[in-house]
Amino acid sequence: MILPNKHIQISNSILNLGAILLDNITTNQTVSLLWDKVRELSEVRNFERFTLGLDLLFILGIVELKDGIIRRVEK
Amino acid sequence: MSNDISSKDLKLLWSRSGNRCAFPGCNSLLIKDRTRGDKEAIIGDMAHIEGEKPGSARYNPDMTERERSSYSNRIVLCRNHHKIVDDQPQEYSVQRLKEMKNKHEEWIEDSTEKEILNITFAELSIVTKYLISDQSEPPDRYDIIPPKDKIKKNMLSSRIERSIVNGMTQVKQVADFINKVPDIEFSDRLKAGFVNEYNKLKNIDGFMGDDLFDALVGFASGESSDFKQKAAGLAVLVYLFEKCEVFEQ
Repeated sequence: MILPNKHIQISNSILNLGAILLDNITTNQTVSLLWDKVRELSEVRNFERFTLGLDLLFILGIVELKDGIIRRVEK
Repeated sequence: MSNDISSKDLKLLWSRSGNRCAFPGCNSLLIKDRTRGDKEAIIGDMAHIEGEKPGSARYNPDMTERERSSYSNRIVLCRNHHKIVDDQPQEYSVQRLKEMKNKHEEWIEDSTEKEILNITFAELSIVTKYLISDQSEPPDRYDIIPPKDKIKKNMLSSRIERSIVNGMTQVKQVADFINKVPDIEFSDRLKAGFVNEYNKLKNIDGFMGDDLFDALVGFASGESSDFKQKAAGLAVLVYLFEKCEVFEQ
């Protein structure tokens, strides 16, 4: 499910979705703004998948939420 | 009509008959859909080819009880044609009934395979809706061996090999369908549904080879009488066969 396998192509995996979301977090923006930005993409497809992709980014510590703004964690 | 046929033979007989009368030119559908308050009605008979008891049509005293009630001695008929073949045993001999049965089963198989090129996401959506399982998921398997080797290893006949080749023409569409389903766990649950049914049929019910394949096609199409749904079920099964999720490898 997170990783591609025999049945899920890499383009449909949550890993790929996380990469796409990360690509779209370019400036300071709210989660709602990010959703509006990516909702039409075929890889996203619905809000459930969107939240799963975000969950993955948070779990990996790549993004953070501060004062309602989502942004990349600076290393 | 006796009910002593084993559940394994029962499944095989109805699956291969396509739920239709085997009498030439009849092909009547023998399952009536369920209503809000009632389940499906079976309006056909599992007629004995060589008679059920002394005095019945085409009775063979040398047969064992098991042979008499088995799949090979049964033919699915509507009640009208059941009466005709039993009342006219000279015309409807043992050999003739067996030929009728074989021709009918071949017709069902051919009709299903003719529809394989016509299946769309709509049919795949219908059949897969009933296939997904909520039971425990089998572990992932990452190996894939060529279908030719799998066919040999599982003792599948050239008839089944032809079905698999036909089903292969739609494996790409099944793969696309699975990737497009929004439910993130869909492919895992579909696989689990099939693997669980495969293990049940093989290890509990004792199906093997062609019988096992035919029983799985029946399961995959929800035992449907509709040729397009049977074709969609076949396509899903062949997809999983190709991905090495079901059958020995």
